[in-house]
Amino acid sequence: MSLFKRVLLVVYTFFITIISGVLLMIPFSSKVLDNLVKLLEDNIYISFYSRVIFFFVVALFFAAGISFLYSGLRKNKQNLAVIKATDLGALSISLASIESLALTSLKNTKGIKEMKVDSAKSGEGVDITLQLIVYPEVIVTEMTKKIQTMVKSDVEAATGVKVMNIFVKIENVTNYTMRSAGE
Amino acid sequence: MSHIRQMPGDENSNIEVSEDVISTIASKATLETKGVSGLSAGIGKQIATMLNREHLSKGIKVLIQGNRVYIDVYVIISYGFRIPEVAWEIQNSIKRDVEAMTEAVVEEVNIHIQSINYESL
Repeated sequence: MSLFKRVLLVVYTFFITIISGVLLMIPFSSKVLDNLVKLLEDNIYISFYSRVIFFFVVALFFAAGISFLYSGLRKNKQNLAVIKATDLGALSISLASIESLALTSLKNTKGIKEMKVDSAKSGEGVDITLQLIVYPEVIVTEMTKKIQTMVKSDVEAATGVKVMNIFVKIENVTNYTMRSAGE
Repeated sequence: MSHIRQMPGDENSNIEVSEDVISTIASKATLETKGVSGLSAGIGKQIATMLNREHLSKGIKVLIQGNRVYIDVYVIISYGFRIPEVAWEIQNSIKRDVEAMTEAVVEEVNIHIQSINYESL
């Protein structure tokens, strides 16, 4: 997390705590709400500039909230990992690392125009899904067998993690031939 | 911050070893291991560190309980190396160096492989 985001998180959390603390008092006395409304009216509507400042401060908080919400909901593959026990502790390998190894394994395979890799934990090992866009000259069944063997062997050799299944999804066949694409 | 207290023979003096010291030793041992490209701390871990006030410096998290030490290492591995072998080397190096320099007992060294560095390609 960048220094800017850290500072933003601290400021955001501080003000949310203060605001929720004030709101907590509302059920106990209607004066709290009246005073709060009066305070806002007295300070926001005094001039055009105060309205603009208020708008931008609230907009900043809104943007920060959306940003933290996005960070929280985004799937962080670095935190998802396959874990193996060792004599001195544990070894966990992130799914992002496994996916990047699978991608590298496919890099020099002829006949593939575009590829995406996804992975998920499966028992003691991992399942890998390859989504491919291939050239029209490719014999899909042959290529599928070849890349399944290659990816399984490369990932297992590098990580020691058992690859349980490799699913290959041919998403599309491109209109370009391998020759026209310079493959 | 937790410390390990050591009694160097003289009853009136003791040495305190902080988490920072162990973190530095572990960091050096890790970076000297062949196949390690660097240390990494994920965003989630950094937030957890802010909230829990756990020690996490440049990809090393240290927990001290009495004389026992638990270490988590967040590593970036260079492409072409076998991860289990590199991890085993890191674990052994950290245990050896920390125990030799501090007399603490290293109970666990957990290795977290965060990503692969392909610069060697």
